[in-house]
Amino acid sequence: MSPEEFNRVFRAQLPMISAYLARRVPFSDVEDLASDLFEVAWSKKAQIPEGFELPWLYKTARYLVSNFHRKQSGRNNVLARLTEPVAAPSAESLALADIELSDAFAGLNAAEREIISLWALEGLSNAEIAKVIEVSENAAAIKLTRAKQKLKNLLKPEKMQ
Amino acid sequence: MNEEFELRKRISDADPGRDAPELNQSVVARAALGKPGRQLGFRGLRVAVGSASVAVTAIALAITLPAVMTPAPLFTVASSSTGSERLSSSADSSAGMDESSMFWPGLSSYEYTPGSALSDETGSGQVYQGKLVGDPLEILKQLGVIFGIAGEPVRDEWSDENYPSYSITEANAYLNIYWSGTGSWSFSNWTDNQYGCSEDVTKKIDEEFVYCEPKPNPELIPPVQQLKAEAERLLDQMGIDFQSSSITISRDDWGAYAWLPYLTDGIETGLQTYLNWGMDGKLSYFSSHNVELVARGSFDTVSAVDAVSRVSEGRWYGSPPESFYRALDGGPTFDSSVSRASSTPVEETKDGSIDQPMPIEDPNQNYEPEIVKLTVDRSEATMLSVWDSAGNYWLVPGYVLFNDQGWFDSVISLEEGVIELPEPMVMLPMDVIREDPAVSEMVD
Repeated sequence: MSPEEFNRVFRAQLPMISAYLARRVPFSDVEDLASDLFEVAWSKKAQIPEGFELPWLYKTARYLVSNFHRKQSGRNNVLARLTEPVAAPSAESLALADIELSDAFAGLNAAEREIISLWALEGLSNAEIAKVIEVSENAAAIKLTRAKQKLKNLLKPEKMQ
Repeated sequence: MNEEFELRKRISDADPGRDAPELNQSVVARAALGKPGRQLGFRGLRVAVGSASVAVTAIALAITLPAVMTPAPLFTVASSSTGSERLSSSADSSAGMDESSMFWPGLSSYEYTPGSALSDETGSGQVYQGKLVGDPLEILKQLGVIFGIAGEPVRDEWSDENYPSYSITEANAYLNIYWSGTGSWSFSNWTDNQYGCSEDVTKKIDEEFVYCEPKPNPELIPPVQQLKAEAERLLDQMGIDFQSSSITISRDDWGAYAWLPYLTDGIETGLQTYLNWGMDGKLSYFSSHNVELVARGSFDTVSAVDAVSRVSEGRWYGSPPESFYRALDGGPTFDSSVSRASSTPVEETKDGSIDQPMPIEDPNQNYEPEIVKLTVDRSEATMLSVWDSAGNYWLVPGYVLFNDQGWFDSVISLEEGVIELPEPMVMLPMDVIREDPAVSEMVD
């Protein structure tokens, strides 16, 4: 892939990558992480499956975001109990728009918040989510189903009793 | 409009990435040309100026103060949130603030008072430092044998100097290890069969999105005792320290999972080993750690009464063993703020639909937080997991402090000076951060 071709294919993903990163890190760090991401993409361009550039970028961005948060927080809190990389928007990030949703979101663990976000915010299908979090499509679908059910219960506990 | 659609729309409406910055398109071109993409922004400038100031101060102190006057702390605790998660997005305004500042998204402020039942006795406790043992590539190879993965381990492309990571990737399996902190590793396998969709929930919920809920095959999921036996066999094979009675299995129509506390020399840490079985009843995920504890000495600890005053400071936070979270109603949560949120009753709308977002009537209004007074009526001494500023793992004495509202906080009980803490968090009311600070304020 020539630099021109790389530029053409990946430039189209910029808005989605910007939004993905902005949901997970401070806005001021978005461009730095995007730069890192596209440098990795260029170095691994031969391994990126054609037609799946965006899920591949999300998968790699997930690791970069995960490392970013490790550096920021020293994994002193939520990530302390996680062994796999997780790049989930925080519950507080939703608070300005929807406090009740934010409260319910806080009742999910980070992996659940991540998969819900990939579904609802990134708009990915089960197959695409599976590529991002590196599990089978089957496992992604199950994880998503469980997470959605838990979120619904947190949003309206009275109805589920 | 069904429930799925409403849920997805509601989350989309609250999208924290809605106002994401428009990236300069040269970000892609620079990568392809091999040119460094990073530029020194405000944050970088602040860090640079701050670092320079700290360096100058440190040199001055080194010259003027004899080293023996201040015993070196064991380690510097990594900066972290105050028990609730650090804000990580929607940060266009807060990003410009000092690292130790957070905006105040909630509407409550918590004031803690020690109850009469709390002890005022001081004590002492052992401090342990996590030590990674072995060679990560060898460990991956050994795990590969157990999980049936034959590939060669490679350094990941996202690996960096501080957080090196390695992996073995096959068409249907993945094994990776982070060689920092606790040496966490995980195995994923996706050889399970393609799933069918349950007809009753397969709906086209909008023009471009089809939701498929997997059709379960519960007859493929082994019974709990069989799953537990498989977990124990694998744990034995890997040499992971465990107690059979501490393995918890959860099984439903779509699969099963098991978790147990990660022990080193019989000491329960805040870490976990986790296993998952997929819809075909086969092991689909396994994660654990590779860390040993080295005793670094016994140190004096403060009383439970004195520890209460540390809760609001935030920087004394450490992660307690998972068993404390599981003891709470509703299963595990990830920090005390979750319990705070879930303890708040949620009002149901008259038509039973999902509540609509709460409107913010006046963005310029000053929000006065509600003061919530809490009494800590019980404490339990335990070991807490802490990460230092270099990413290393430590296990230190602490207290879990249970309050009269039904949730708890966990704080380190070591006396002042044993470890170095990050700067205290400063909670700022919303209106303070809406206006971007001037450059001169940011670099001061």
